[in-house]
Amino acid sequence: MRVVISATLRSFFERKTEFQTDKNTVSEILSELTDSFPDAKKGLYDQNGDLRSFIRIFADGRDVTDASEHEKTLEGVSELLLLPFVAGGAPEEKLISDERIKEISLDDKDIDRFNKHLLLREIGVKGQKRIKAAKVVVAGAGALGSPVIQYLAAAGVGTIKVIDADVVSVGNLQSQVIHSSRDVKRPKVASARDTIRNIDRNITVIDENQMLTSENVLSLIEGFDLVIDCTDNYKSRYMINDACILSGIPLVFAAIYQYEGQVAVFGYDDGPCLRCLYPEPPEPGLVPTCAEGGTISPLAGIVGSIQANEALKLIIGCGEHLSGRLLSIDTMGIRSSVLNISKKHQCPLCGSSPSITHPEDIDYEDFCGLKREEEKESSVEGLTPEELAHRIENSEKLTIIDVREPHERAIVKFPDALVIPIGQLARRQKELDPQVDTVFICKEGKRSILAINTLREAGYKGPLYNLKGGMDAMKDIIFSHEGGGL
Amino acid sequence: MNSNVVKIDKKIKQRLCDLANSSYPCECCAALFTKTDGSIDECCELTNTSSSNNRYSIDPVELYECESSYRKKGYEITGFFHSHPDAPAVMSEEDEKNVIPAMLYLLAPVTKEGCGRMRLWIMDSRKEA
Repeated sequence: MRVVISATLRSFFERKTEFQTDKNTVSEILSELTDSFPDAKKGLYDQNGDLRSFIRIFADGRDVTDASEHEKTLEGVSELLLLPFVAGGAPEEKLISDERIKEISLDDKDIDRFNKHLLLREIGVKGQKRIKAAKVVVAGAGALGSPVIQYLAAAGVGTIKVIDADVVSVGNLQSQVIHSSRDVKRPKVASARDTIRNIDRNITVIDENQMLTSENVLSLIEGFDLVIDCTDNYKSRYMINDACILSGIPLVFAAIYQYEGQVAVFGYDDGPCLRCLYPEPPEPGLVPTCAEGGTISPLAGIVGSIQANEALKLIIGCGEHLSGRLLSIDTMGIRSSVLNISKKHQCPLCGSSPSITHPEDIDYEDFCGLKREEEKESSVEGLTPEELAHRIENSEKLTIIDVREPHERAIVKFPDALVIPIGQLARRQKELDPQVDTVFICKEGKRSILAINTLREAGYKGPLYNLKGGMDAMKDIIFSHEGGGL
Repeated sequence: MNSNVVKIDKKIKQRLCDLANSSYPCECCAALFTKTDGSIDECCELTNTSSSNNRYSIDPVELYECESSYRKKGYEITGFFHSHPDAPAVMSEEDEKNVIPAMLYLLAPVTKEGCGRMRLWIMDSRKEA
């Protein structure tokens, strides 16, 4: 019998396409082939030992692919064909189903307002209806949330939910362009809601003035099509990532720091998630938060606008997405790069045997140094700025350790302070005198607590104090030798 | 020649583009052939046996007859072409399930406005056409 193999499968058979055999069942012929050609086994069978779905076997024109035919004697058959079944199709999955857009109509005002979208062939009326039907959650109404919320509103997203527990402060106005001076001390969600209403009154706005927690995160995103992570800390990022993957809602992730930003799409169309990239948040103290590291004013506008653009493309169902890819932008060097992220089988969240089955309640606050110092009072002794000032004025013997980053020290120096980064504390503890009180300072009095705990763990026995509220709280203290000020 | 580059004959590319356009909004498919050096120098339209607008499947026997007749003219099959109506030129889940290793997969995104930039895929890595 002649065995003829399609040239499409030649790579499995050392490029041969025809053989003679004296075997007379399909299974005997297949094992003869896999024995003679090492690559054939891998090519013809999957990991479970089943014939791959694209293989078809024909005996004189009759389909004998099904396993039930493999043991039957091929009597009088002159030619056995080994062929591929080539099939596929366009990706079908759409974030906003065709069913949902049937209920949406665009009126004359919409046609005027979204004219520039309707001109784009990828968007058109159909795409604009998808945008109008879309329900999007924006977690965080800060720097990234500012452009995201405003562009989604301007683009005509029908329902926008904004979640943020904070109030607007003067320091926010440098990068959070959704708020204005008049909004200082107002909840960020209230200010964001007003801005959305000023753009388009037809948008349904849901403002949630509360912290995301492992208890409320699932219910806060339930029923929405897309979540956009505009938060600035690891606790929220991991919680949102976990909740989105568990709920099957795609996530547009972004993070900014100083002059750099990153954007990625997670949990879309079976793509990877944040935990495929980094299974756990970074070690405490290793990465200063955005609040401590600072950012250049337009950075959030650049990165957040890319986030909003990704969100719209996902909603419309056009273009290529940052799914499985992490975009990094360096605005200082004006460079960008894309890092491929593959879905990990061992991912604790979206892998084949996940260990995370509900939003986690790891005490990120503790190790990210976000926890209020009152809660840590029991473990770390603190000095108020007044107490510290008093002791300095009285020329008491003190060692002051500054654990801030160089760029932070450049803003305000602490006179006579010894500079030791947290990472070097353990091995440089000999520089401290256990007979003398040691005071740790940082920007907000959080990383200094971490520094004290690090030193204690390293076995240091001397007295350690934390400057409560950090350098920020020292601003109001005026030493008498400075001339009294106003 | 750089092994990461697959050349495609301009005329063939135009023929595939026309095929994608004339089939829109349905998917179309074709077999791709090479003379010797791996570049795409010939194509042959195949019947899409799928009834769905956004699916394609090729009758294995028709494909075999097609590759045999081109072999007689000195061509070797090197991959497949299909269109993605109203969808980007990325391999779909359905595409990946049936992918044959070492075969090239040329995808054309097509809308009612015409055929977009084609992209070439080979198992596990992406190449631009």
